[in-house]
Amino acid sequence: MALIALIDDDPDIIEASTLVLESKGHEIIVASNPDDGFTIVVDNKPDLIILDVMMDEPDDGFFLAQKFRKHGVETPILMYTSVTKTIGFEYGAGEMVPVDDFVEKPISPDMLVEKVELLLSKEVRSN
Amino acid sequence: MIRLVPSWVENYDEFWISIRRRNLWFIQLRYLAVLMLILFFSFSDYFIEFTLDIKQIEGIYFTAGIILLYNVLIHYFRGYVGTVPGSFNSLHLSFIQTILDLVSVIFLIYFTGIIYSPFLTFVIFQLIIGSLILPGRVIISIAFILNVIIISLLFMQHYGEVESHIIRGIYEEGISPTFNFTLMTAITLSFINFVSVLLTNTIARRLYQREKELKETLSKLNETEVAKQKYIMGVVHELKSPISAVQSLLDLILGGYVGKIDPEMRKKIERAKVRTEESIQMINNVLRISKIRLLSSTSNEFVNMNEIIENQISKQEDSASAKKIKVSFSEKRDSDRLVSGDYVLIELVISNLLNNAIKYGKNGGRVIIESSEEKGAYFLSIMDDGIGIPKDDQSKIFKQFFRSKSGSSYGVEGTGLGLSVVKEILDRLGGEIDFESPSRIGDDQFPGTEFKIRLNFGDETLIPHKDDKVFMGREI
Repeated sequence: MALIALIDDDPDIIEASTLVLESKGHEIIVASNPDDGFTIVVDNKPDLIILDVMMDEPDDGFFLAQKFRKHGVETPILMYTSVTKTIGFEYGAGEMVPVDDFVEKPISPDMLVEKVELLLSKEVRSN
Repeated sequence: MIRLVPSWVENYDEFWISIRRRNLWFIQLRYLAVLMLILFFSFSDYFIEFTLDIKQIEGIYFTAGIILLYNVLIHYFRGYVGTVPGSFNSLHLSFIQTILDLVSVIFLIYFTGIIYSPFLTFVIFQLIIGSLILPGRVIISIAFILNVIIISLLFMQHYGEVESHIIRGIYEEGISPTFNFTLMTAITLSFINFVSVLLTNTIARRLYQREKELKETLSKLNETEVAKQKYIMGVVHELKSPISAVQSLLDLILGGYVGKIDPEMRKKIERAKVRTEESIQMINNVLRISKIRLLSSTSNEFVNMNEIIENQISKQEDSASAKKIKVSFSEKRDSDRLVSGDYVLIELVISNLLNNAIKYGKNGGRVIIESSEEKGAYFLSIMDDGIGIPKDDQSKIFKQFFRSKSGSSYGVEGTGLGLSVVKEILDRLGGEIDFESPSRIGDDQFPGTEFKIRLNFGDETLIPHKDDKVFMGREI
């Protein structure tokens, strides 16, 4: 049971991810743009943030991730991207981008669950 | 310091490179000239009957010695001379060389009979060489001064003001040039000198400018290519988002998150997923190609090929066993020297080739991977006994979006981009790819294909220790 903030501008991706994560018993709060995303995270202090790399502007997600860290939000971030593994060396976790892991689109339910659980268990351990 | 550098080449590297290269070339030529000079005067009297007096011999050997001396000095200092327009640079060195060469030739001409000297025409040669390097006004001034000196010498010889060291045996002793002969020689020689200088210099200058324009056009083309690739990436990226969403939704249905589905529906949805996966694959390949083309540099690291190969074999085990294909890897090398290249890119190459071998392999067939070392390079062969590539298609397989008809008719799905990615990567890494169909393990019905790639070895024969967790910045 964890509270997960999902920030993505694609309603279908939000719906799909919400269904999958809710089925695992997590509670989901959603936002469809970086500004709302920032607000819900600050207000609700979720256990995990899922962030799309590209919203209105390319790299929106990166800026938002940096903004979180700048404002002292240390919640683990899982980033949705459509390019990570396409070429592999695009960006690795933590490399200039303060995120903990990436999931490449299209998101397979199993992969999503696996990565979310992994990040949540790390979070529990470090606390 | 005289400014020898024309303003249009000041920041043009190619110009300096070619000046330096030509300087070196002239230095080598000069060594050869000294050698020829000594050989000629030492041994040619065995073939042609002529005699030199002691003054001539001294003069010629002295000049040869001087040429050798300044050539060695120039050769030595050449490496320290820079290409900065304001200070002493390669072009100044060329200038000095030209002057020294011309002075030497004048000495040789003097000691071999001035108007009757076999070296008289060498002046033209020297001036042509000078015109290739030096700016127009400089070489024209040099040609002017040189002509004045030679014409003076010619007339001084005619009027008996200088000693005439005619080579005896070639010309009769006591021969003296007439006024008309002297005048004609003076006019012809100066005319030829000026025309050669003007022509050569104009051509050389135009060549430099043409080369410079070409370079500029090329860099503009590169910029256009980058813009094009960025555009393609943007567009393809936009295409990927909705398809990804579709696939996520299909996964949702197939995963049973929205309720039960009957088997017939499941079949159709699974089929829909296969088709969306196909287009995502294609998009990913386009993204890869654009990405590789946009990369200005690839990382250069030591790569353990065996590790990549074994990883890929285990990764693709499922698809191989689905077709009952046996994949085997045999190492034909004595050492496991590391290859140099980009780990991720090489992985991509191997994964694509193995994937193809399985995809186009026959049911119950074999895929054999063999590594070898030939001529100091790493070679990897991946062969199958599948459908092979028809002769007509063999020249096109590395083209983007090309798919062999045999592949489509065999019912194999593909994007037609895999091999162009592989080729692009190997070009990047300085490697090569070649193929043969039929392969070594094919038969008449299933000729099979054999791909062979070449990669370069890293400089060191170091391999990571078994207990090392990280080698060259990568986890092992």
